[in-house]
Amino acid sequence: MAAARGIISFALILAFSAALAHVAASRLETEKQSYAAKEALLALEKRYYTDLDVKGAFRQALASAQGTGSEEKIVDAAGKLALLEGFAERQYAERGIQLDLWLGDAGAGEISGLRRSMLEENRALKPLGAVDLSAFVLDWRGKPVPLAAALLASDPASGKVFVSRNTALVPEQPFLRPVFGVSIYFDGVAAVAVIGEGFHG
Amino acid sequence: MAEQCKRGQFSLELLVAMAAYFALIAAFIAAENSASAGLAAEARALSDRQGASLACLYLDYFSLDARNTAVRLDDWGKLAANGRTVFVGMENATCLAKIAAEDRIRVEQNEKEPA
Repeated sequence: MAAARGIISFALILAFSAALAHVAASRLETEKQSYAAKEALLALEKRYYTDLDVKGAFRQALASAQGTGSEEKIVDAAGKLALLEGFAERQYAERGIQLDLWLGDAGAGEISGLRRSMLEENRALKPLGAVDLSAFVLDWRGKPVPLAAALLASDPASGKVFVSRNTALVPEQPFLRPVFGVSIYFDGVAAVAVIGEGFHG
Repeated sequence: MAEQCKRGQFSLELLVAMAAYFALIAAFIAAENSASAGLAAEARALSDRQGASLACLYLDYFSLDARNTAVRLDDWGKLAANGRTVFVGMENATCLAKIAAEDRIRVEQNEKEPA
């Protein structure tokens, strides 16, 4: 009789423990959800400030352009942008963020497809029609200049350098739409920051 | 013979008492099981409700802060969305963001990207 009571008590405790285990598991799951949500929100913030930071660097490169004429200013700004590519990509890689700075063709459809490809390949990619921001090309006189110069212009009144197609300095590049871009990838977040026509320092 | 018979009667009483006792225990276990199942279902519903609320918070945030961005939502379990409503399990939550769910979840962007 005593043994039967023991077995029954054990069964009861077991049944009660199962209910407790259910509640504990549910609590653990909600905590996990909450943690994942916080992580995901922070990742969005990280993306936002990366975007902002790189655009700030672009703005600085354009605003600090030096030279006597507009051509010199454009080439100076383009040179700074060319240097920015390696610098920014290295700096962000140390923080676990992959960047790819590029210039070239990037329509809305292309950008949407690019984000999907980045998620599939787990890395920052540039559009098919884009080239590295540090690429060089020959100008009208056959002198190598940063390709970014083809997408920069200088306002004659203010002297400010801004993003615009520039065929005065570099022969027209038919594959280029006037757009600079930054592909950002980290931890399942893929983004493309677009620096388009009219962006200035 | 008489002694054997007396012992037999005593055993029968004991058996009846034990049967009643076991029946009581069984009823108690059944009640506890049912309460336990209810508790588990309630815990599941609570978890789904929280999941839906968190998903809404995230998607609202996404609509403000994630232009030109795509994210992988592996840690979120099975999410479904329609209009401004997000569904997780049997629960749902209403978001501020406008959401469309086809092969993937799309969120209407309300803010310009940082410039």
